[in-house]
Amino acid sequence: MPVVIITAMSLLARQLGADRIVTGTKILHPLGDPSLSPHSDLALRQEIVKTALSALQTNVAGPTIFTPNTQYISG
Amino acid sequence: MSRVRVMHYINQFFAGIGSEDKADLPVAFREEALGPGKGLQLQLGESAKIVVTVYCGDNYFPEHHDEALASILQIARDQNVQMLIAGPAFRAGRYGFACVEVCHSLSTSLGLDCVTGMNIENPGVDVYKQYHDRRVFLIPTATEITGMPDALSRMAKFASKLATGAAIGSASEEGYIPRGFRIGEVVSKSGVERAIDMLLDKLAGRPFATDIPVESPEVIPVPPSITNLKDACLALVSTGGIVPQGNPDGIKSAQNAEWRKYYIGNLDSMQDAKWQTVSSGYVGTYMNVNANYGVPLDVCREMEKEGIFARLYPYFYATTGNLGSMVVMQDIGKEMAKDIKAKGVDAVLLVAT
Repeated sequence: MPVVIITAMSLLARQLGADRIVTGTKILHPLGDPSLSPHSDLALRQEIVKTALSALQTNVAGPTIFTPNTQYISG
Repeated sequence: MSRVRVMHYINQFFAGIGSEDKADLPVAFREEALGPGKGLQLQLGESAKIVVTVYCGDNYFPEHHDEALASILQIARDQNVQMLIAGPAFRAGRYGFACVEVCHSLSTSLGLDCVTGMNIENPGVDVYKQYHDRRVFLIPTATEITGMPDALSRMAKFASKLATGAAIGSASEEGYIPRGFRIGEVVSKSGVERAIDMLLDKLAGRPFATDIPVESPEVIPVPPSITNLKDACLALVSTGGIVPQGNPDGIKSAQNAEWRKYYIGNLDSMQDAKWQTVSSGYVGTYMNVNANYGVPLDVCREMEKEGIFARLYPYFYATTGNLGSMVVMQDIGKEMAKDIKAKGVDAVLLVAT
């Protein structure tokens, strides 16, 4: 059963061998950004979950980081 | 002989800036020993001098990994640093990870000898073993800050030896955690004699030391991908310590050994009920107001209604990962997995703060 881990500490997750990794926004708020408008915050969360679902459907050979398609990753 | 120029890397807490509230502190430096660096300098004596202390927030480092390392490298160049000492980080996972990353970077880019210290259970230790840089040495320490005097003493002693340029022996002789290199050495007894001695000791139930320890890490095959998402049942797992407000099950803020499942089947968003985070590993300002940041229920519920996947399992699995013992966390993972599989779930979204 595939598991995707969503975390701001994606590099550590890769080092420790998690196979499907999505880079979260920040440690304090991995899925979204409270400094954005509620609408944009939700859109960011949707994008991260979409990336996670995509990772679950992707065959990977080993630890792989999937990056959400947004300009905001770390700020 | 001029003293070896040392950079000491620490986090925002040991630099005296603040605690979790200052974990987003960008890279900064002072041209002097700070915090535990003062004790470290006393132990180093005349062998080395801490010419610069670089410090950075525990959250800032992983969230700005490349820029942080670039800044630290530049400071090392500007200060003509000849050796790096990082930590000690004890059990602090983000700090331990940062220490090992900084060691790896300075060792690889500038060829510096690097010494770091942390508890054997710190996630940084696994990263250190993966990198297995020849000139990076990790000294094991206690779990608590009460182990500071001992940690500083042993790190300084090792760093002083490095400063003299003396040859460094095996991990067991010198007290660092092995990286996996095999070092040949000449001994008086032949291999045949050593093997027979070991066998006789083993048969008699006496302790013996193998020449070549063989570590077999557990290999977990990559799970195959989901081929039909529309038919899939998804489950949400959180290690961020998110629990119903009031923490009815008494989940601990750190070193937790338990997990629970919490019902979300009647909710369209985490904000439809009251939650809190009990984790002491991060500041809960945002998570306490909107737990969707750690359990993305609002988005998942919408996607379930749209048919993107068939079903969201009506509970989320909760624990606090903060300062978790490796063995305990593995057991929690196994127990959660057993339950998840028994409930007909096809795939998992695990959110880690």
